[in-house]
Amino acid sequence: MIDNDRVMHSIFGAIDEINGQLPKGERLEKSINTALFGNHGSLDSLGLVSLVTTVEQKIEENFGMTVTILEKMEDLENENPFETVKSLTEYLSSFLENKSNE
Amino acid sequence: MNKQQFRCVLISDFNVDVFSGYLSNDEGFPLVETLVSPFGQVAQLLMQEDLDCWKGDSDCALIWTRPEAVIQSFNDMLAYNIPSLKEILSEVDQFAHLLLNVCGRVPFVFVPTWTIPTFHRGFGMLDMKKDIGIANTLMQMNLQLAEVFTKSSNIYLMDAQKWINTAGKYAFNPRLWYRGKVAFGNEVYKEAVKDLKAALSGVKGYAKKLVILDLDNTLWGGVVGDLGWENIALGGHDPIGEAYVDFQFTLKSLTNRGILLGIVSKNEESVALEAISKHPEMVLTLQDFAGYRINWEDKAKNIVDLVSDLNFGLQSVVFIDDNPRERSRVSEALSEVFVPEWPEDCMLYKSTLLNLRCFDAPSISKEDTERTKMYLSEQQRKDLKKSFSSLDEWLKGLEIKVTFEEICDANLHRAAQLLNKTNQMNLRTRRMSKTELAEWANRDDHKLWTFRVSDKLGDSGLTGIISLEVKNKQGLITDFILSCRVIGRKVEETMLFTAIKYAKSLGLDEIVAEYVPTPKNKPCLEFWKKSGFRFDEKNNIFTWGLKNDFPLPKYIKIIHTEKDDKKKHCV
Repeated sequence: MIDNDRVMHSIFGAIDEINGQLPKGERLEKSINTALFGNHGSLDSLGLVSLVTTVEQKIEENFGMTVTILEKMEDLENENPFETVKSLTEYLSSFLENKSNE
Repeated sequence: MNKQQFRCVLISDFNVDVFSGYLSNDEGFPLVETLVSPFGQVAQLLMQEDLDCWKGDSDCALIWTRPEAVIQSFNDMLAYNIPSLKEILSEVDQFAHLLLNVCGRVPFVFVPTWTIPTFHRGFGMLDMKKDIGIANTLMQMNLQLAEVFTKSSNIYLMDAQKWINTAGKYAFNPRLWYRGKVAFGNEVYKEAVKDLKAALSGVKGYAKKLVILDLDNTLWGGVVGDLGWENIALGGHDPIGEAYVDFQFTLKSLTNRGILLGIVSKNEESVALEAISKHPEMVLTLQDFAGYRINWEDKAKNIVDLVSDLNFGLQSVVFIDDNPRERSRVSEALSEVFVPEWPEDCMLYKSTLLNLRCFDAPSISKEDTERTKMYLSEQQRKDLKKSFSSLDEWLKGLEIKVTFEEICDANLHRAAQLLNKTNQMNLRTRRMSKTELAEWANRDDHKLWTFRVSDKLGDSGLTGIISLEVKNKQGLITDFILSCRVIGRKVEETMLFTAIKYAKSLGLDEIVAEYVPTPKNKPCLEFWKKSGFRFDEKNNIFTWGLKNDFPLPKYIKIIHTEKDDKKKHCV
């Protein structure tokens, strides 16, 4: 069973990392409701790339699993799990759960 | 724009927005505003000086490229189509000259060295082979850049490989490349930011020029006022003592870069100075320090006093102290002084010092300095090549000095350590306490010398002992001990020369040495077998008739230090 808190911890670690690259006014709060990318999110496409890649690294560090959570930007047009920290946590937990059951 | 804020033009063949973010967000001195040029247009940006990025008053440009993106022949090489090195270097030369164009447009130009991803194994075992290896070629390409850059004094090649080494596993992330054309992982950029800031500080004249040091637990282990200089931890065959000696060597090396040293310590001045002048393992002498304040006053006050005496500004100063309270006090009182966080473990002192970026400074005549360095390096290489042609030549090149003296207060501690820790080059493996050793050595018919060895590359310290017991007309070598640090440098023969010369002066007939085998001291037997002594294999006895002189090895300079007062005070 994948622990949601550990997943969120990985996302927050990635947010810390990304905030080092973002201008002051655009930095992300480490909160469940923080909007990331999409309608209300402040990340641009490079910001998203950075976030996704850093989250993947953190997952590898924290869960020992190598994952690719975004293959094509076009995929986000149908479903965008990167909209908020909450949606990303749910997506990742389910993703990791499936992967660990493979 | 704030005068302390720099504007930096960033040019690259890959997406440097992430790097730009880290650079402009970093709040350390100096602040940097970035001007990012569209990526992938390096040649155009370098060739055309009327572009927007060159207008305005930028302070510097950083031009970061991947070798395969700007040197076509190297790109071919990555596909294992090996062009000639000449062809590659010719292309590098052209590109390097393009980079030189920028030197007239901004005051300073920084160019990270070329690297390739660590996952690219090239030709494996052949990768360092000349004319074939990718790694070998890349090194030569970087050297070629460095060579061309000597033509201008305001262009600096920065060692990007260090950033990659520090970043480790995540230095390269192919996903970042495919998703965003970002060539390196975040850690590489963070290291690059630190080095670029240090460089900007340096070129603007903010490099540190004076290191002020505490003494107790900073230059040596322990509190000299409590322990006495004989008992502080410094040198010897233990990790702590060696770490302090190494740290002192590193500090001393800073003086070769033109960085001054000073002391600010809470101590009795006379006690501290006695330790500096008398302790045999002190690397730094009083002459290595530009000044000192050793008293019980506030350290911040002493620093101000010393710095003003030396005609420096506080912004030129680094203060190193093991005590976090003293560091905090100085940081708070003197915000301009750089007070690095200092490790508790003295074994990390040297690496911490070497890792400080605050000394990065171009000299006023940097171009000349680099030429001199390159010339000297080349000379050293040639010398080294020659030196391996024979043992004698090698020894000659080393300029070995062997200093011997009788056992005394100053060397007793170290001699006892050597006696009790040395296994390989140890004739009889006697083990004795400091007191027992001193008592033994002080008997009228006993003699014990200690040997210090140094050469042009450094001082190995007290590394040898030979002792002699006189019975009737015979001298018995009781101890013959040499640290493995200096084995094979003819110090063994020099020790025998010393003992035999002394025995002859007493009018003895012969010198005898009994080899007592242990599981570890076979190297000692091997040496003695080749020493020229007559060998009684049955009894493991070696004998030298004193009608014959024992030759002093060629190229060894032998110095006898006589300090009668030391012997007198021996415990």
